[in-house]
Amino acid sequence: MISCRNVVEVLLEYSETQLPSEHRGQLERHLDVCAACAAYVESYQLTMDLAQCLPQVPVPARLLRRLRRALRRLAP
Amino acid sequence: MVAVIPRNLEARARDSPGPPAEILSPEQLFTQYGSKVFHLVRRLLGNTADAEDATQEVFLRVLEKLHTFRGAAALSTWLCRVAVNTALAYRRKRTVRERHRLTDPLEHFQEDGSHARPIRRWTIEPEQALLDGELHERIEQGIASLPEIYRDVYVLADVEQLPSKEVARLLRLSVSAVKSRLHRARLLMRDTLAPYFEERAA
Repeated sequence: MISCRNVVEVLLEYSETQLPSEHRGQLERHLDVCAACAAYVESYQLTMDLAQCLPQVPVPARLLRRLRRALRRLAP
Repeated sequence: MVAVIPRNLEARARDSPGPPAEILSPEQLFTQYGSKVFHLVRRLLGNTADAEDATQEVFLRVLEKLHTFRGAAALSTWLCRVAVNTALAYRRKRTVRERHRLTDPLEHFQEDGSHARPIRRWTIEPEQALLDGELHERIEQGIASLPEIYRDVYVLADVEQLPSKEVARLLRLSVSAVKSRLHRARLLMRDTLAPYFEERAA
């Protein structure tokens, strides 16, 4: 029987489907009966997904002006 | 589940290769990659002022050597390497080291291995995640609060979506060290974001 801590320890392997099938089966049986771990696994996956929802905001205008000035100095 | 929109350097390289590097003008280079390089170094450095200096250095280095670029690697990959190396060199020069008071996420368990704290489900609407400025700010703050060794792998692997092997190469780590740090970084980020989503669910 695996514990909640054991589940959390192997979530990266689980998310990459790298866990051996026997271990994966044990983990999923635990998730079937442990609502806290089921919520935790879901939030771990969401944490991964949320890293990709950050908008690419434009470069600050001040930095663009600096870059252009630096470029002019480089020009022959 | 949150909709995944590729916004990283590698994805952009795959989706729209653009003109060959040798015919890109400096202005086009800034326009196409300026924002990506700036945000990558900003997240690695944790502050905007250093990020502006480092971004300028990245583009000057790249422009200086653009004539030697033969397209053996994607331009985006090359820019990414220069950006990471420049950011890490900046950090080494800093006299004040960052100090983080850190709680180990793997300590939040009872002796029998069960959760010591209540774990609640998160409520997220995909559209909300993409548009919610407050959420983006929380994520940025969470990234900035990660200790550097975890922040580096999180930014490169989860934000920039680079494969573990490439992250290992950039940071001169083994792949297993990258995965171990990445796991810890995600647990820390999860704990940082949990109150926000649990409040919403309540």
